[in-house]
Amino acid sequence: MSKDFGKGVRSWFSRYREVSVFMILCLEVLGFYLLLSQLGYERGFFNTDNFLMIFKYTSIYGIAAVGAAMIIISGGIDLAPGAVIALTTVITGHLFVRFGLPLWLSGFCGFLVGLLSGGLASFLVTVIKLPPFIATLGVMGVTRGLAFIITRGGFYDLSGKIPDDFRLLGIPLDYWPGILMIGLAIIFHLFMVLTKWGRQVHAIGGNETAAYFSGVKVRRIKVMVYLIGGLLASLSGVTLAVVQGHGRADIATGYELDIIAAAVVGGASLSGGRGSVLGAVLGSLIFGVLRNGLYQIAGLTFYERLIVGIVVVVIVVIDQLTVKKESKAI
Amino acid sequence: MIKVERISKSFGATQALREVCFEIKSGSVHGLVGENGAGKSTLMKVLMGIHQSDSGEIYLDGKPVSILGPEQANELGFRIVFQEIALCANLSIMENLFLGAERTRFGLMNFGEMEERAREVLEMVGLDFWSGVLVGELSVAEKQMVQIARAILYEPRLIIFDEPTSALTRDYIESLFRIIRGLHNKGVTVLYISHKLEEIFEVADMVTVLRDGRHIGTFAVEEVNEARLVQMMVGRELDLSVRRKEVKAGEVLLKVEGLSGDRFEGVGFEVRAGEIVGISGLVGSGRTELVESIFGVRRIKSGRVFLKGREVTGRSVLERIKSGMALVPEDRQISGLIFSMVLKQNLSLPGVVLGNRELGGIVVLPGSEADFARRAIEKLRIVVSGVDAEMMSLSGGNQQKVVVGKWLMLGPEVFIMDEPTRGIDVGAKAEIHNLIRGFADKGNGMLVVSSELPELLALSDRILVMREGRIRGEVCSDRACEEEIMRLAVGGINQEGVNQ
Repeated sequence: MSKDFGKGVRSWFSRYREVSVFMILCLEVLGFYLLLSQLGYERGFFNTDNFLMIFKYTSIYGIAAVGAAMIIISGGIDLAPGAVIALTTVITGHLFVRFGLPLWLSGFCGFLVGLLSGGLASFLVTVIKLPPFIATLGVMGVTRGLAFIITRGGFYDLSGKIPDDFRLLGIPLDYWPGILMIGLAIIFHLFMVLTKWGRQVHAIGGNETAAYFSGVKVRRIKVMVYLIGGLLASLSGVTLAVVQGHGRADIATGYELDIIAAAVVGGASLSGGRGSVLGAVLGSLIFGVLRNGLYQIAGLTFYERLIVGIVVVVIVVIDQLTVKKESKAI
Repeated sequence: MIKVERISKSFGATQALREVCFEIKSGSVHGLVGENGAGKSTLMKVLMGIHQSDSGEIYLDGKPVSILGPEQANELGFRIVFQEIALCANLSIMENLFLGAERTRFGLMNFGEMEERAREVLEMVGLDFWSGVLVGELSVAEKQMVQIARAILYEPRLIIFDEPTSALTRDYIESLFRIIRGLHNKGVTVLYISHKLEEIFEVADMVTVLRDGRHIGTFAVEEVNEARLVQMMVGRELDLSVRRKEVKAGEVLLKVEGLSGDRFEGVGFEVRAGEIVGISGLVGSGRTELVESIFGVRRIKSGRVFLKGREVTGRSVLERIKSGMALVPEDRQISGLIFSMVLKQNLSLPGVVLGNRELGGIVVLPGSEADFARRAIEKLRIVVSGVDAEMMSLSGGNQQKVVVGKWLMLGPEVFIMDEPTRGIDVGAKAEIHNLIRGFADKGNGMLVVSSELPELLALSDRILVMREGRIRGEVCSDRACEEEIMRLAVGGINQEGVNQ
């Protein structure tokens, strides 16, 4: 009885990966709270301002992780989001600071970066038929390079020109990154789980030939996921530029790998077919909380990368162990 | 002599082997037959040390042996040729042959010795290749022969063949049988597992039948006939001698005109309502390329395809599906199923792509999808634990039923099936045959490609025979005989070579 119960719980967890990732996140927050209380730092961690901060920093890659998860589920990979984020902040900053365009128009133009980079990636993948790794490596180089060419080593400071009490739709700016990230995560999660297009993305990632033989318009679906991936990366960029007030070419360096790691922690398989958008965002939050928590403890900042690396490996290993146990049980 | 005594093995709740006892005489060719799931694979994996039996003993020349792993099985002189290709495509034939057992001298590879030995075994299996050729450049049949060469290389005492002919062309099947007879003459014991009973009668001295993990019987092949074996395998008879009743063919549903493409040329034919049209021909005659081009998953060079009088040439796969076409592809693993998706998602996929109302349309409703899957499971009698079953947990026959079911549920009018019963057990085969007949009886058009002539003869109203990419003739199944079809399929020139 109890054995069956354990098995049932395990299979339920592996099927609803989001729940287990969410529980890891809760445990993490609790762990940091207890650890920081011991050290007497808990006030700096467990409060609304700090949680807003966590959402703000996490959203930079968390929003992009929504698109990246979809691309990974389709059997592809996207190395461009970090660079797309950077170019978006640069374009938005350039238009807003240099040309004095209104903020909404600058942001919209920044958004176009995602459309173009996503379009380029999907062209290279579906028409030229490059492997996604190479195609998006190219897009990464082009977008990051353009960002450096435009800024020429400088950066744009948008924060000075945005009033502190700026509100969008009546909501203070600081709340927006979190709202966008969670909102998009839910919308695209439902899109992937419930709509026929989402199902086709899963099908292509699982077995492209079988999907094609079942009538799936493989190219069209791939174009869709790379476009969504690009657009969400540049939305991350716009959010970053507006909320944090930076427009820099060297921003978000290496984020593409954090994004992929977040998607994997959230249950995505790099061989395609499996994964969860919500899981990827929760995975991003696990990293966000980890960074924030470590930052609060004096002297641990330098350990951040090391610990993040270990956490990714440990979570994925635990996952594989549970999957193996299940398949053996048959 | 190898004696298997009261071997039992279970996986969870499934009892794969129940107290199986039989003997394999030294130097004999021993056939092992049974449906999928009868326990053949488990038994051979126990012999090879891949699985350990729960109880029972294996005796070698009267002494009990314990086979705890593949290394021990190899030390005892047991070798196996798997059905699946397990070779490294990026390495040469020689490197594959000696993989893990490289001959060395002073710690360096002794290429001279290896090449000489490789040449010997390649000659034995009838592969006329330099041993430095990369395995990736070989055809599936040639790769299978390399696997056989690899087993022979070690001069085994017992060699197990698991469905060795499923990937082989006729020539290589002949040479496989020659090799087996050669091994037999050298006193090597052969355990030959196959679905194809005619092969058992061709090479084996003895045959053992398993059903549901039980040993049903072991006989000298002279004592039994095919019908009796099938009856023992399934507990009932599969009669392939029943021909289809004369049907009144209706309007033309599928019309192909002068179709040319990769590996076929100038093909034209019609399929009428209520008809089952078979396509026969050797592997490589362009059959698969032809039907996949008709379905639109391959490009064509010229020609036209009409569906119910409407031209669909140049239309997408999806549009052809919408107008009532369906294809069960040749290889369910490669182009039929998606293993990262559960059963119900595989069953609903074409319906989901079409935005089928029954499934909810744009939003796929989980409840409707489960109902849809349940109806398919019931209609095709798929044996599964539930609609959320993993595809890997299904037997070959049930997997094939899923591939058929995902189309059948959409109610197509022209249904193309490429090797619909390859690698599935007799029971599932009979059920798929009944589905095909029932489908045509309802006034739909059926196009069946098969390498098994008895199957085509039993199913089809007429059979198109292909050779080298062209249709060489059409025979009516009531008058057709296997010889006539074979003559058309291989061409008249080397007729003598075929009949021997």
